[in-house]
Amino acid sequence: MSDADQILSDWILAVRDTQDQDAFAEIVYSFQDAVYNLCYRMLGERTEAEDATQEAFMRAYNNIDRYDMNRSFKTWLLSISSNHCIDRLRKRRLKYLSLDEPLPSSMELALTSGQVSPESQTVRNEQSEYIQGILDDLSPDDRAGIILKYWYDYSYAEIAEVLNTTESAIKSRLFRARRALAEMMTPEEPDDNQREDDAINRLSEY
Amino acid sequence: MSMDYRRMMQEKLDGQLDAQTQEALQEHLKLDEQAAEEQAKLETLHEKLATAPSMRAPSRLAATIMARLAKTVEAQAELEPLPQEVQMALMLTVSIVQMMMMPVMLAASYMVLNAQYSPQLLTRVMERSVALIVMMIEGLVILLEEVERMIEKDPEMAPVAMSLIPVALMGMIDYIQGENSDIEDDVA
Repeated sequence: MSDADQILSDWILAVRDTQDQDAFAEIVYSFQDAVYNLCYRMLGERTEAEDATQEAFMRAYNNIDRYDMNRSFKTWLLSISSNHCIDRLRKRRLKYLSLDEPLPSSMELALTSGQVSPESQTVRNEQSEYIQGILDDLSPDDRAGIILKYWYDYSYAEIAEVLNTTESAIKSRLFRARRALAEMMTPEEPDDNQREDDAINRLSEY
Repeated sequence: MSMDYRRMMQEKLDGQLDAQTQEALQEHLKLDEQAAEEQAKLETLHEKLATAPSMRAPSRLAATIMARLAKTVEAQAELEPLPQEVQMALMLTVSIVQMMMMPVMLAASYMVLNAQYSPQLLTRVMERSVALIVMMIEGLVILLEEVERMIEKDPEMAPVAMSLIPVALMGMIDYIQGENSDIEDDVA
C-alpha cells in the first residue's frame, strides 16, 4: 500500500469509527474535483452540480460503514455520485414530461451558457461546452458510461463496478453512445478555425 | 457493414484490438467507404472527448459541504434516543410516582364508599384530594423540568437526577400530610 493509500485509509477509518469531521474534510478536499466534474458532466449545470456534489458527500459520510476497504474508495464515491445524478436526471425528465414541455435542446443549452459565462470566451471552453451540449442528449446511463470512460479513464470493468452492471452491458452502452454522439456531432460542430474566429469576434465586442 | 466490423471499430478506440485484428480492420476500411467514413467520425469524437477538460470544484464548495455536514450531525444528535439507563430511570420513576399516588386515591375511594355517614366530610375530602393530586402533578412537572436542565448540562447525571425524584415527592407528601392534619382531626 502506498503512503497516499495509507493516509486515505486512515482518514476513512477515522470517519467510520469516530465520525471524525476533520478526517472527512480531508477526504472532501481530495475528491471534490473528481465528484464535481462527474456531477457537472452528468447534469450540465453548475449550480445543480454543486448541489449534487454536496449530496454525494453527505451520502458517503452517512454510509461509510458500508464501504468495503478492499475496493477503491474513489470508485465507491463515484458510484454514489453517478447514481445520485442518474436519479436527478430521471426526476428532471419526469418533471418535464408532467409539465408537458419539450426537453431543453442540447444546442440551446450550449449556446445559452456560451453567452452568459465569462469562461466561455476561450476556444477550449467552447469546445468543452459543445461536448457538454451533445452529452446532454444521451440517456443518463449512457452519459455516465461515456463520462467515466473519457474523464476518468476507467476500464470497462471499473465502469461496470461504478454503475453496478456487467462489462458486456457497459461495452454495448459505450458503443451505442459513441455512435449516437458521432452522428450528433457532424452537422453542428464548427471546425477549429471557425470556432477560433467566433471567439475572437466575441472578445472584440468587450 | 457487418456488426463485427462495427464492434472492431469501437474496440480499436479503446485499445482493445490486437495487431492482427487491427490490420484486418484497416484492410476492410480501404474497401468500404461508408465504414471508413464512420470510423473517421468515431475517431474525431474520440479525440474531442479524450481532450475535453475536467471541471474544477468551486473554491467554496468544500467549506459548504463541511458546514452542511456539521449541521446534519447536530440535528441527528438531537434526535438520538436517550441512553438505556436514562430510559430505565424514567420508567422506574413513573412507576414509583404512580405507587405514591395510590394512598391518596385509596383514601378518596374509601370516603366515597362511606359517603352516607358523612356527606359534608366527603365533599371536603374530595376537594382536598383533587387539590393534592393537582399539587403533586405540578410538583412533578417542576422536578422534571429541573432534571431536563440538568441532563442538558451533563447527560451522565440523568439517572442520578431521576432517582432523586421519588425522594423529592416523599418530601412533598410529608409536607401535605402536615397541612392536612385538620382533616385527620375531623375524620377522627
